[in-house]
Amino acid sequence: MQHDDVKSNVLTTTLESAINWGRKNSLWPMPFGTACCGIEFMAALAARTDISRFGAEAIRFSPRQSDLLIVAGRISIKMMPVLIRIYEQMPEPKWVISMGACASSGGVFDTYSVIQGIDRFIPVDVYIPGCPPRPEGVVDGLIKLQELVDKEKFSDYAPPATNS
Amino acid sequence: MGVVHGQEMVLNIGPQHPSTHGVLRLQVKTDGEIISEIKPFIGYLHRCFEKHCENVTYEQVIPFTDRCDYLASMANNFGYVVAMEELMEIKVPERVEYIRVIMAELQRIASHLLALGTFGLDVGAFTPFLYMFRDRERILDMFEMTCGARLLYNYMWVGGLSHDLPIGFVESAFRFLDYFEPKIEEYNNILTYNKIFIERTADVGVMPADVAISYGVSGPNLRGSGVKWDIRKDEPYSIYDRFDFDVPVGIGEKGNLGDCWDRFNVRLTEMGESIKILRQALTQIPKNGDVHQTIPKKIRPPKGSIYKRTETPRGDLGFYIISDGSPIPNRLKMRSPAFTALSVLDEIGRGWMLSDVIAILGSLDIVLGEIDR
Amino acid sequence: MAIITKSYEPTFWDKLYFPALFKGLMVTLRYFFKRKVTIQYPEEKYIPPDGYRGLHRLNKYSDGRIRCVACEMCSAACPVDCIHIIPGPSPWDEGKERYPVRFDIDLLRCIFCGFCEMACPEEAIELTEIYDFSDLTRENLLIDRDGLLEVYELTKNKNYYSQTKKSEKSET
Repeated sequence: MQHDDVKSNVLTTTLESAINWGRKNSLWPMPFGTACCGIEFMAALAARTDISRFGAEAIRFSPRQSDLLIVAGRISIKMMPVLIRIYEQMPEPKWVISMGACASSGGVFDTYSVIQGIDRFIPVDVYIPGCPPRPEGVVDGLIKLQELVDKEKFSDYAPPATNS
Repeated sequence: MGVVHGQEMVLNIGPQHPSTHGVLRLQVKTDGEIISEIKPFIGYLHRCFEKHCENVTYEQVIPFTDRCDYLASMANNFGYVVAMEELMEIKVPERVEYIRVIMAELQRIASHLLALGTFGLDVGAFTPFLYMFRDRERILDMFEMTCGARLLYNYMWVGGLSHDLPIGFVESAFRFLDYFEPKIEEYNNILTYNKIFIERTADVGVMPADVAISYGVSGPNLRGSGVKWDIRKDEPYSIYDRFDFDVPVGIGEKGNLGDCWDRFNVRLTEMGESIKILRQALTQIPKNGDVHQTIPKKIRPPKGSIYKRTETPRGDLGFYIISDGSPIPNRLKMRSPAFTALSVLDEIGRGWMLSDVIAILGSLDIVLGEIDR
Repeated sequence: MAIITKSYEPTFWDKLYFPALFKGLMVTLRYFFKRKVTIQYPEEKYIPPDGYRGLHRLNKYSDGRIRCVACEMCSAACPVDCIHIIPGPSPWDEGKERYPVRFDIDLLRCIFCGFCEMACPEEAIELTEIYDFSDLTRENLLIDRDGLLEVYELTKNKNYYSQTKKSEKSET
């Protein structure tokens, strides 16, 4: 039997890739939509660009039930503690998409009250540029995140070694 | 039956809550389920629009006005450029005026579609949301065809427009109107006259006309209370005095006058009136004309000030601009309709249950980008 | 305290709830058999209309020279200051004297307003139809001169998306 035949006929997998496959196809987003990008995220949810095709239609407004935080819109200084709180409430493993110019870098609002990029406070996995991005851009970011999730290793989650 | 009073409880709704339409925090005092006080806390989206405008040129203010009321960017652009043109005494060509009205009315339909869709979502109807977004996408396609962006356009400039209409726009607009007109009937079937929706909204959050006027509420919220006030009709700007359209008002068809259902229905009927305006404008529009003709090389308004108000989908939007003769504004103030609509929430929300507050908030159709600025 | 009075009295027919339910279901059922509006995005691409404001590019003359003369009009017009240019003497004999040694655009800061392409006197900077360019790091989204010229090579025939299957869903 050829090697290719084995590959296409026999289901062989490791636990790691099976779990990653499950995780990447059932990302439950928690939309932190504050402004214009939130509207475009709603458009991505609607009929034309249906993100449920990627298993991400289960929108949860509770951070404890979700594993993907989509920050859509500008974050002001007053709002940042809320965002950090929500990020910390999410269970591991968790990923963050920073959608749009305002969330990624402050965008057009270079003022005292707007956070100049949320990655100063929380880690960001995928940046989607645009002001606001097209719904297709959101899907593109989601696909990039799925590729990222696919490559994750269990060892990444190992607890840090302690000196006790 | 005697009224039982229990201990009052303070409950926070928001700032991250799906039905607060953005980032709004409501501090609600409740006695059981009954609400005795609602205190809105704003400022979670504050980004210093007015002060920032004092540091950029008059042209560069336009992208900022886009981002105030991001559901009706065209209408915000329109309000700003109309004020600036009156300050600088510019008379724009006919074709520009017509294109502006067409864009503003298309934007009104798009904005109302989103408002009604999310209102349905708030009270638990998901399908109308999908249908309304499907139709809204077609309007956004037309905007994209015209100026290359879907949501924030930067389209209307002081003295003109950034682009002329593309070839085939008028035809596709007519195609859209023919497609869209029967859809209103469909929304009626699926949501407006749905029994469950009526039970959730009729008689809820009654806003009497005198309360609405004393709080300065404008737009569809005011008209839902039965007051026939529309700046397009009563104080016409641009070329709105040429069109024949009606101003729909609430009549208390399903409950008391000025309830959530009335506000919903006014928005739905208003889309039909916008279609009427669009049909007239698309037939009357001059075939040719240069849209860049009257754009000044350098925008330097004379010393003075101006207050001009226009009717956006949310109501009465005013721009107050003080010019000191330099190319950057000395002071720019925006009077936002959503702010006044939010301020009335405490008055009309008291005595209702917690779930009704969500319906009332949805029916007021607020945009936090405009409230916090 | 608001006045709470009930004036809406449902009839017997209303109280059944079923007529309203079926009326709504009739509408949704009709769509069950209609053409679907979803664009299957990664397989079939939505093709934006001409003039779409997406990723930037730097145009070239047919002989390979860069059109840009590093006049910095675009960075002056930019409302967010996301364009950074360092001018230098042009390496080509004919034509313009200056050209950009560095031309960096911070794509995460850019708001795609189109002021730069309006301001450009040489029609050098232009916004293209590319809309999906998200990335995993901030550094990858800082596009430099060579990157912008690469985008020009990709989009000069206006067929960046039409190489894949054309979407038939966009109706307007």
